[in-house]
Order: sequence, then C-alpha cells, then structure tokens
Amino acid sequence: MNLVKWSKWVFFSEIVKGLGVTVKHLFFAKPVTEQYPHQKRTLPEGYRGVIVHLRYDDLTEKCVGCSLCEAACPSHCITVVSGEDPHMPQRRIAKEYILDVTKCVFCGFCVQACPVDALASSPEYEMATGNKRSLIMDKEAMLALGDRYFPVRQKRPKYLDERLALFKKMQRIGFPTAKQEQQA
Amino acid sequence: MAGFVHLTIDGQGIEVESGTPLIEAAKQAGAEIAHFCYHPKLKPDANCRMCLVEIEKMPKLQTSCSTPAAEGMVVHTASNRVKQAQEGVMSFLLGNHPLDCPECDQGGECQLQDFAHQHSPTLSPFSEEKRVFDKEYFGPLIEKEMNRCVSCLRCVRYCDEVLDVNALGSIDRGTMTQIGGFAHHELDCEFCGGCIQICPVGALTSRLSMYDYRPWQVKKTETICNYCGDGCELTLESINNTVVRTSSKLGTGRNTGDLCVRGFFGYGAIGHKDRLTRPMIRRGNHRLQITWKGAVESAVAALKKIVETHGPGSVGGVISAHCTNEEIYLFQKLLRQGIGTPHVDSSTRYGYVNAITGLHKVFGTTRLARYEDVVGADVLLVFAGEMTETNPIAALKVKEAVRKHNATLIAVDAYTKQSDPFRSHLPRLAKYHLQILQGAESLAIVGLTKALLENPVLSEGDFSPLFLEQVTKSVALFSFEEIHAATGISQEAFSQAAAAYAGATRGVLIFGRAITGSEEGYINVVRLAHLAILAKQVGRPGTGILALASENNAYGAIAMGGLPEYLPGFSPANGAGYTLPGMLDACERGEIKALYLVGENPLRSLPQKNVQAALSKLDLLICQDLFLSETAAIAHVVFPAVSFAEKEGRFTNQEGEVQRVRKAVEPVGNAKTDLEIFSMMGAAIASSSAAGVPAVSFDYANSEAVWREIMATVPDGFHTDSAEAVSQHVAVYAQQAIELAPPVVISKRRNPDEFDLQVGQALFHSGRMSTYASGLTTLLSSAIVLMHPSDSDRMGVEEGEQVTLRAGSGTVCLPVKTSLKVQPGTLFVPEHFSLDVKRLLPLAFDPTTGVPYSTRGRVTVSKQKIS
Repeated sequence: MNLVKWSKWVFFSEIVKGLGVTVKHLFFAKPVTEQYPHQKRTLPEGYRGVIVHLRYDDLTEKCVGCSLCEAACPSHCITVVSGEDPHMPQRRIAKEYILDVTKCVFCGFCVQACPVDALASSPEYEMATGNKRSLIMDKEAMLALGDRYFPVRQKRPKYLDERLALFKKMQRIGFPTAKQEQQA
Repeated sequence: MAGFVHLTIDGQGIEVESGTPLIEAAKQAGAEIAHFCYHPKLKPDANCRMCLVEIEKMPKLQTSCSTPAAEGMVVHTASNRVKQAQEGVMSFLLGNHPLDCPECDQGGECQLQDFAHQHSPTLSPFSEEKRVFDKEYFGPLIEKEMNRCVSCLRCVRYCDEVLDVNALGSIDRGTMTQIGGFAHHELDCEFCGGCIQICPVGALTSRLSMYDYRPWQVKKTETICNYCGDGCELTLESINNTVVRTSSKLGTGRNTGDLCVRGFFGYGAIGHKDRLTRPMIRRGNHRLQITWKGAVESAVAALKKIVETHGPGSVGGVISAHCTNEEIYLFQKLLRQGIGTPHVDSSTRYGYVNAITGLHKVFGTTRLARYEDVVGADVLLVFAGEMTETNPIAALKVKEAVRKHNATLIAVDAYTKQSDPFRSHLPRLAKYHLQILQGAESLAIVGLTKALLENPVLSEGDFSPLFLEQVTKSVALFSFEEIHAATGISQEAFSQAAAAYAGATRGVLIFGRAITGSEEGYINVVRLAHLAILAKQVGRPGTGILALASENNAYGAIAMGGLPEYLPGFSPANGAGYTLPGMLDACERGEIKALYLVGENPLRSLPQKNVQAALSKLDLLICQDLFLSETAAIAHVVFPAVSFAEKEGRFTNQEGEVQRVRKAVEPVGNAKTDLEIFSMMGAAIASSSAAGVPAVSFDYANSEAVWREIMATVPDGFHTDSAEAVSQHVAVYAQQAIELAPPVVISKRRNPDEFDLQVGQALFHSGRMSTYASGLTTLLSSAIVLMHPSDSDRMGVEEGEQVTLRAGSGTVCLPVKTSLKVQPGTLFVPEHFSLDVKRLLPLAFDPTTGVPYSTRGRVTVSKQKIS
C-alpha cells in the first residue's frame, strides 16, 4: 500500500492522469466552443428575444395602441402614445411606441397581454452596441425586426374588413372634429 | 319627515330611510348589485333588468333600483336564482356588444367590463352575428358608437331630467334601438358632456380626447373650474403634463358631479401654443425676452424711480378675479404695504362689486343663500334669464328645484318664454314669466315692490316705520300704468308674482349680470334687497339671495381686499383709492405714472374710453397674463403667468364657499405662478426700499403660508352669515335714512329698424380665455348676432347673412343667427370675440360704485348691400 502510494508520488501519476485528459481533448474530442460570430446556435422553440411588432398580410400594422402591453410590463420599458390614425379617421393606432430594450427583462408579458397579437418575441438577441440610445426602439424599428423574423403573416380578420370599409366611407364623407383644429 | 325601515339584505340587518331603493340599501349593507340603467341622479327606469334581486314572499325577482325598501323585507342579492337571472341578462347584452375594448376609450372604466367579469357565463349561447349600426357623424365633440350601446337610456334621461335639454332620444325599435338626435341629425345641444360621463359603456365618448388616454394612465387632480362663479369641482386628467380630459366625480363638489360645456370641453386653453413662456421687456418698438431676474429688476427699478419722483400714489394696480385668494391678497399687500398706494382694483369692478357692496350695506354679508337653499326652495324669483348660459350649474339647481321638487319659478327678464331647440331656458320653466322690455329691470323691481306694499296681507310685519315709509316713497313715483308702459308688465302680473314670492315658505332670490352689470346696478341690488326684506324671504333658514358671478373668484377678490373700498375681510379702507375707470382717468391726467395689470385687459373690456391714450401716457405698464393680450402688447414689462391648472390656492365661489385649487400640470415654459411673481416683486421692492421704511416680508414658502397669514390678518375671521346676524343688521339698516335715485325710464324705440342691443356672455364661452380652447371655438368661433325670426323675416334676412349694426358713426357687420329666445326688437351679441360691437354702445358709470356699464344700447340694423 505504502509502496503504491510512494511510486505514484515519485512518478507524478496525478499529473500524467491530468495531462491524459488534456491530450485526449486536444487530439481526439470534438471542440465544444462555438465560433460565435461565424457560427450560431439554433434557438429552442419559444425563445424570448427582443419584442417586435407584426403586420397583417396586407402590410398594415396590427397594433391598435390599446396600451395593455404598457400596463402589463413589469419593468416599465414600454411607452405607448395612442391616437387617431391621420390617414383613417376613427381608427386607433399607436402614434408612438417606444420600447426601451435596456430595461426590458424579456418576460413576454406584453406578448401575452396583446389583444390583437401584434407583439411577438423574436429570436433576436444580438443587441450589443456601443451606443445605448440605439437600444431605445421605436415602432418603425420594431416593425422592421418583425418583418425580418416573421415573414409569414396573419390574414386580416373579416370584422376588420367591415370596419375598414366603414372607415373608408367615413373618410370620403369627412368627419370634422375639434381635435383636428387643435392639432393644426 | 321620512321614517326608517328595517330589512335584511344577504342575512345582514340594516336600517335605511323609507323610500330608499333596494340597490342603495344594498350598497349600505356592503353588497354591490350590478346595474346599468340605474343612476342616483335619475328616476329609476328599470329597463336593463340587471339589478334583479330575490325578495322573500315575492314570487318573482324584482329590480332593486325601482323597489323601495320596506319594513321586514328579506332580500337575497347573490342567490343562485339571482345569479342565473343576471347571467342571462348579461349574455343578452354581451351577445351584441363588440369585442373592441382595446380600442374603446371607456375600456378600463367600463361598467359592462366590470360587471361582465363578475356575472357573465364563460360561453355565449348565441351563434348569431352581432348587430352592426352604420356609423354616423354625431358632431365635432361627442362620438357615438352605437354598436357598444346597452340601451340603458341613461343619457336620454339625464338630458331630459337633469339638463332639461332633450337633445337625445331613443330611435328605432328592438335590438336596433339607438340613441341619437331625432331624425338622425347632427347633435346640436348644450354639449355639457353629461351623456359622456353618464354612459356606462363606450357608446358616447368625447371626440376631443378620443384615443388620447387610457383611464389608468391619467393623473387625476381635483380642482375648481375657472370659467364662471359657480365653483364646480373638476377633475383634470393629465398625462405627461398635458391635460387630456376633464371629468367630475358623481356627488363631489358644489356641482355634485355635473359639468357644463366650458368645464367639460374648455381645457384646451391650458396648454395652448400661444401661451407666454418668458418674461419680456419693451425696448423701443421691440419686445425682448429676458430672464426673470432681469425683468423683475427692471420693473422694480422703474417703479422705485416713479415712487421717488411722484410719490407712491402714482402707482395703481388691477388684478383679475380669476386669480386665487392668496394671489389677490398678496397683490393688494404688495401695492398697499409694499409700495404704499391705495389704488387697488379688480375685475369685479365690471359688475359683481355692485352685488357685494349693495348686499353688504343692507345685510352685512353676502353669503345669504347656498345651492342647497336654491334646490330646497319652494319659490324662486330669478332676475337672470340668461342664467343657463352664464352660470349653467347654478341654473341646474334651479331646474332641479322646479322639475324635481315642483318649486314655483318667477322669472323676470328680457327674454321670451320660448327657447331654441335643444337648449334649456329658465323662462320656459317659469310659472310666472314677467317678460320685461330690455333695460326695464329697475322699474320691474319697483313694480314688484309696489305690488307687495299694496297687498295688505303680505306687507304686514314688524318693519320699522321709517324703512316702510322710505320704501313706499321710493316706489310711489310711478303709477302702475306708467310702469306697465315702461316694462310691458301689467299690475295684475306684478301682484301675482309678488304674492307668490311673499307667500313662499322658502323663497330664494337670484340675480345675475342683467342686474349687476347694467345701468343702475347698485341701486337695483339695494332695491332687490328691500324687496326680499318686505317679502320676508331673507334672514330665515332656507331663504336668501344669491348673486351670480361671472368670474370664478369674484367673491374672493372682494373679500381679499382687491378693491379700493375694502381691506381684506371687508373692513372698510380709509383713504381714497381709485377704481379701475378712475385709475384710467388718472393715467390720462398724468396722475398715475405706473400701472400693474394682472390678467386684466382694459383695452378690450373698456373700448369706448380712450384707454389707448391713457395707457400710452404711462411711464411704466406691467402686464401679467397668460396670453399676449392687446394691453400686454403695449406693456413695458410682461410677466408670463399660469392658468388655474398650474397653481395651488383657493377660489371663493358666488355662494362664498372657499374651495381648494390644486396643481395638475407643471407651468408651461418659464412661466411662474402669480404668487411667485408677487413674492419676487415684493422681495425686490423690500430690499431696495430706503432705510427707515419698515420692510414688509414677502417670503412665503407656498400658498398655504399666505393663507395662514390671511386667516391671521382678517379681523375675527370672515363676517358671520347666521340668520340672526342678518336680521340684526337689517334692523339696524332699517333705522337709517335710505337715499335711492328714482328709476330711469328707457325711451321707446322709434322705428322698426331700431333694435335694443345686449352684449353678453354666450354659453360656449367665458371671457377671453375660453376662445383659446379648441373644443369651444368649434361650437362658436366668431361673433354672431342673435335675432328673433319675426324680425329677420320682416327684414328679409336669412340665417348666416351679414347685417350692419349702426349707432352714431360706428358700424359693425355681423352674421345673423335666428333665435327664438331673444325678444322681437332686441339683439344679442356675445362679448367674447368682437371688440368693435362694444364701441357702438354708450358707456355710463355707476354713481356709487363706479362700475362701467357698456353692455346695452340701441342700434339701427340694415341689411348688408351687395354691390
């Protein structure tokens, strides 16, 4: 027993064992490191990256500016300024939609809260930047990201078509309001 | 009066007043019953069937809104049977309700949403398509989305029962029942916004704030409206320092949750783009923007120079009665103590001062009647036919008294009994309507007093013989025939009205600008006070006199010493200070060298006088305003002030009720509150004052500190207003000699082209400020002339056509609008836009109070010739 212990001590068997593992990985094992910028992992289903805006198949935006995402957001990173669509009277849209990605915790509550499925979690995670301001995204940026990751778009529902026809008719008639005067 | 009954609700014993609807009793017992058509302000209608409850020993479920609580009732509000019934009702309602909650402005404060969460079944039994209404244009301010309507008819009933306007009705039948103006036309009503506030769902919403907010985003600030003297509590709802909506919570404030068009749609002036944001000084013909420090220093240096060379009496100051009590107090302190001038006046000089000084002389107080007295009165004598336009919420109290409590209304005014469609009008509700000729108010009061004195039953009472003799002498100058000829009212009508007023158990007298702002204003107030004393309708609980104010803090301006007659707390001022017209005369004479105007624009409000020349003679004109007014444009120093939504303080309404004003948004730009500006000015004056002159402190942390000082300064607090004190004061007054000038008889119109012109306030505006609110300018954006259809037919003028008003050498062209309420032979022009029309009218001054009267006159009207 003592002899075995002694011989191991003399011949640095622990080092040899350790070096063995090193040699094995060095020459025989497949590399685990991914060549990240050149090679990318496939993400699991349901991965929650940056939140994006979606469009219907006729390229109109889905968002109606209801601010429910803002209400649901636990980190207060969403700001919605709703208003009337300047091109379509009586239609509610988000005049401004600001997502502060620096604050976002990617919980996806906003996606669940959205009543018209206008929001989605994209697989986008490469948001590192030297300019923090570029992480405060507006609606256009979010729509562009949505276009990139969600090319298959939902069909505009029928009830919306009906209302659209109504909107168009109303637009023709003209609906003067006190508000237009206020904004003018 | 009413007894109490005991009943059991959900196993809990409770005692309520008999006659209480079960739904209210349940609320007291802590059980909220779902409802849509029930509203505490309205009579029960029981049309939504949502508030069904089970009452033991009653075979069927009962609607709790229309079932009064009775002794020994055992009520179940949440039994299985009730739940099943409510789920049934709810599934019918939801069967037609669109799922557009995310887009709907009501989403988040919707009763249907709330009750659906509690009472709806998970699945709908219906597979039919939802009903869809064609979208209709309903006007620029109110948005109608009938798909969301639950047909509770609250809006229709509110419009009828509370407003007495009847602009809304229910049209069509069955599931396609919808709310609207008759024959689907565009809404043209008083636009009080009550239907929007009372709608339980999003069927009626505000077009002005459409899609601008979600209810949970807004910061709510309860403050007081600044558009008239009613003193309504208003909730300003703001997002990011912008007011997006106003509302008023049910049952709060003097208005108990009702608002008028100015309160509901008039918030656009607060954040208007034309607001002044930086102090300015004039250099030659240019206005330069400057820092606060520089502006205050240059103003104080110039003031000091003037005081040194011409004495403190060469400085005058006028403050608007739109400012808070604290600001008016500080302003008069700045002038009286900081500078040492007695020349302090306020915009109450345009009429309200008549009411206060007159009533004060007779009764020792002006707090004689409150809205509760108006609502509870059994006879109302109203000398304000335009009350529904000038003071809409006080008029609601009159309507409530007449329509809910069957009070007798005696209306004395120069309007016809008819009203325009979808507008309320007090003479229409009057039992006795004395339609006098324009300008004949004084003779009408004399007629009423005379009729009262001649009625042996009513005039008896323990009046002092001197008082009775003097009043009798003052009315004996005219016979009833002469009064009939001058007013158009017969002796019989006077006798009936006088008998009704004097025979009242609780009689309240109301008068407005027709009395205070027109010729003989002060004397007429005293005459009315005599009338009330003779009729014994003052000095008893429930009786009294209410003087209507057109400015939100008119009462406060006088109570805070904002006029030369009184120091704070109505203590008489010694030394002769000039009134506003007197100050302008002194400016012209070169006696006053510096004028400090706060929110005042004499170039606009006194156009006939040579104000321009008077102001141009000044060495220093300081203007403190929200907008660059005509006067501010020629001022040497302009300070940007803030609106009522941006400051803290207190307003006193026309009843004498002191109410808190709270800050809803931050001041625009570099504007400062008037309080801060006065403090800065005061501190600069105190620091630069010569040695030996005791410095007055202007160091206040906030408005609260000023208020504490006011409370400590005012001798014995405010004057008492108890019935005994009033009676005592009247007894003393009755022993004095009363001098009243005889009433002036207005000459008759000579030819049919001559018209009596009245310039006054329109419903949709208040002063100049409201003309900056886009919601209100949509309704009325420029001056018009109201004419009776019979006159326009006679002259061959159509609605919208221009007519020329001529008086002396001046002419004004205005478009005609026909109105049934103006008398034939009279015209009405709103005062808010056109400066020129006031130039046509003669200017007179009250001999006692110096109030300038320039709202009435006679003009000839001719049709515009097209060449």
